[in-house]
Amino acid sequence: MNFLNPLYLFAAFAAALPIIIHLLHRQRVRIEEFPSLEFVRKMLRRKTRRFRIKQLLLLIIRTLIVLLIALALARPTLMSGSAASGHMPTTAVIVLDNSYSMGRREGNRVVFEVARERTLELLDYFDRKDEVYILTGASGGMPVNETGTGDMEKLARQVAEAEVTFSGTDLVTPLRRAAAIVKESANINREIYLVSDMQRAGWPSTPDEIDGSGSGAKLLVVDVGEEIPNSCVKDLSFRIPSGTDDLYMDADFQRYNSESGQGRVAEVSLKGNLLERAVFSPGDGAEERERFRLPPAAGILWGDVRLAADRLEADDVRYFALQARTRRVGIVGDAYYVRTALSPEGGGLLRPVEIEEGGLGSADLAGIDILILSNVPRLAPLEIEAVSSFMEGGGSVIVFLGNRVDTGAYNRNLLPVLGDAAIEDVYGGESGFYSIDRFERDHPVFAKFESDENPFEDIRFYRFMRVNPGSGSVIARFSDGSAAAVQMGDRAVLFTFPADDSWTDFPLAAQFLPFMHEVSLFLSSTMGFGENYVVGEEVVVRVARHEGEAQLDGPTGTSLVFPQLVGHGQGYRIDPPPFPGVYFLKSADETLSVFAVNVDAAESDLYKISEGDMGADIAGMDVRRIRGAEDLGESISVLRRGRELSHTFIWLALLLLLAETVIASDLLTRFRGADNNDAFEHL
Amino acid sequence: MTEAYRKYLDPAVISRLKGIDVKARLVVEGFVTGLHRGPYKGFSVEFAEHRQYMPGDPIRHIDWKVYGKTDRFYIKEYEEETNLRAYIILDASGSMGYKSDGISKLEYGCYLAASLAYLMLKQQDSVGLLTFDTKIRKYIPPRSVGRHLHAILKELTGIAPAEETDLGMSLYELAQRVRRRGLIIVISDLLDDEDKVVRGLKLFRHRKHEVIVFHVLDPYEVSFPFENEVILRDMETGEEVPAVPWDIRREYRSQVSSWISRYRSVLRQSGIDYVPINTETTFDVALFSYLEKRQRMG
Repeated sequence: MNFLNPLYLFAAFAAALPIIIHLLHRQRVRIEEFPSLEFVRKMLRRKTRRFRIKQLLLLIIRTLIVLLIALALARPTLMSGSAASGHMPTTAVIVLDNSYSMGRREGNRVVFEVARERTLELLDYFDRKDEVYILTGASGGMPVNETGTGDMEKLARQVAEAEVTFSGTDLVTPLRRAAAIVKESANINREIYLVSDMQRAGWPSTPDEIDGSGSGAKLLVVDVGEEIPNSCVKDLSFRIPSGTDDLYMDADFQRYNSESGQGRVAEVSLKGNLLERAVFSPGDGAEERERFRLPPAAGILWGDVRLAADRLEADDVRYFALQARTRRVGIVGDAYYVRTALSPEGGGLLRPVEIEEGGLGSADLAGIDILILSNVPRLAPLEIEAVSSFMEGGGSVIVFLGNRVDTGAYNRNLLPVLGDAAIEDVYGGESGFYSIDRFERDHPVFAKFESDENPFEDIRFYRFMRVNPGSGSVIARFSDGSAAAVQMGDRAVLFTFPADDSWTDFPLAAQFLPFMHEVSLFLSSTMGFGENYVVGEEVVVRVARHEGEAQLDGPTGTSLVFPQLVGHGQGYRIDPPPFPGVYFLKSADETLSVFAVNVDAAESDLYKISEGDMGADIAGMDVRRIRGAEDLGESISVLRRGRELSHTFIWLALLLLLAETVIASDLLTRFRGADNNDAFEHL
Repeated sequence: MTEAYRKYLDPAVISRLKGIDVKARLVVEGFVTGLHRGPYKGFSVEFAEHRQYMPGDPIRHIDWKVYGKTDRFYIKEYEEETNLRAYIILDASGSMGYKSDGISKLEYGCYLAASLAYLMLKQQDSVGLLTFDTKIRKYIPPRSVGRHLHAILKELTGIAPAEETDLGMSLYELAQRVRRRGLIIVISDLLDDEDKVVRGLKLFRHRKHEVIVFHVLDPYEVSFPFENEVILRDMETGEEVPAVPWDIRREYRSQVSSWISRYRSVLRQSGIDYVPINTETTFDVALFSYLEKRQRMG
């Protein structure tokens, strides 16, 4: 038994009052002299014994009444001996993990089937007075039942129809939602059940991500599945060496929880045809990279890298799609050095297009992938609107500041379109120079520069503009700590120096050419070149102008979603695709764009979260975890409150009060009856 | 003046007065003043005085000669002429010392004995006094002289309750000692073995005595009005018994009632006058009882 209002248990001390009163009264018994006890002696002994028994009975009853009232106020509840019945109304949220890792086979069974059975088993412990919700634990997954119901048959049907998805695990969202549901509930029992394989990657990374405090909820984790060995194709990346049309693909393979030394065969297919086969053999938890050369970049390339299937098949294949078309880079302002760097020999995938200063508002940007504003003094309102529309349609912008820039106009008009950075002032002079001495080596822009030495060490910057990056990310800094390059969002980069030789000798340096290529490729990679979307992630594709309605062909060959037109017809926002594979966006017979959707590689790690790490992460909730075939009923009966006993105690107190009244009035009647005795009127 | 004396029949009033002689006198004066219409005055044979007839006086006592002379009704009153020997036997046992409120049974018995002695001596009867507890404590033989009252009152003034009692044995001894026929007036709470008490009293009758028993009880002994739980301590034995009065009151009173009824019945069968009184009973009740007895004795 435990109590909902345990503080009221202090009122139980009041049960001592009748005892104290009784003892005080006993001490006050007077001694009366009496002539003769002849008549009363025997009678007294008999009656006194009876009276004392009655008094003791009354004392016990009165003490019990006070005690019962105190207990009733404390709202005692029985722990549910039988979880299936006799429990108090319960609000329960069951989070069913249907991420793709649940689709692995263990023995002859898929883990998700086990999870589904355990969920159905859970439903046996509820009845119509309860309110049960069922959410799913996959990223972007649809809940099984989000409205809550006491109709267990309906829930059972819905659970039976639930399927494992290709999404990664997201337990934070449903657990947060579950905590909110139980917190709002008026029911005494508030339970959250998590039926999951408990991958460490899917568990909240910080303790405060889920706030269960104040909810009084109990979380029972029903852990299914084992930590089995698993290999996956973790990532694919593409390289086009500058100035060439050669295309290379780097495939990263990873093996978890497996004996090392066993080689796995990986096959690369292009447009459905086997292109190359390789063997990789990383150790347990290790990663190995294999490089494959694809045919010269031209047109649309799509395919996959596939491992021989293991028990978790979803991550054994990784799809890719490339639109190896020429990227058009629009340049406004000082174009010489930029144009030369992007296409030094007039070839390659990057094709610079010069746009006249002041003509941006009327220029046709439909075919432009990247827009570079090089030391442009200011932009007219129409041009600002064009830039905004260009970015909304998926275009990227590179801004070089410089001696011609009107800082006020930039701060007011252009920079707010890109982000929240702001130019402060021009810094530096003729007497000295600065260099870039810190940069984010892991950033794709600098990935090309693999040397440990600083490739920009010798480059001199005599002047630059000091910029407050706002929420932007500073990816390179000058020697005085000022920002040299700021990434704003994923479609804009701001350089605080010019792309000419007015303030720096960078455009004259050898590093300028690869640097401009990497920046351009980095920004264009978000526009359909080697995209790698994750299942459940919204897709935004940029396409050229076309006639007619667009439709999407997915891996099943069916048009799954109809894209929505965004950004003045230059791009499409597509609902998160539910299946991995290669998707084709088409209009009539023309392929507008192609992109690949893959499963979340983090899901491949099947290691489970440890008990210690798990408990600490759910704030304010009592967490309990059962594994395998442990008895659900027993676990539920421990955490569930059974019948509330307040009413029972109140009724008992009333019955005792009635008994007390009867016994006391019996004594009173005797007392009064004795007074009415008129046998001695003559005396 | 008449009504002023009546108040002295109340034991509570008498208990506030000093001097037992005064008490006895006032009781009797109070009693006598109420007898102006009663049948208990004027049964002596020696003429004393005339007084004016009052409605209610026996017609046979009207002096017709005086009526013939004066044309008014006068009643002839006589001096009593008697050879009655009365023995007042006063129980001075420990239980007689009990008093709940007001006066104790022994005090009441003393006042009653004094009043009776005063009254009897005033009527020229011989009166003696015996006090006893477990044995005869004091014996004053009966005499009819006026100063004998002083001896009786003196004894009554100094009397105190003893610790224990043996009423049956004392009555037996008294019956042995009092050989000359007379009126035996027993003032006692009769708290002793019932059979022994009755046997003792019957012994008086056996020796041709007239017996009148004033059974003196305290109102609390009768009504048992205690409310809260008490420990009752026997005044004679010191025994203590816890009691819940209101729980046993009905049965207690029933037992006491039966006890009194038994005495009344048994003593009546033996020709003994039995007068149950309590310490709040006005003295005229006892004095009337005495006079009734006296009248029956002639």
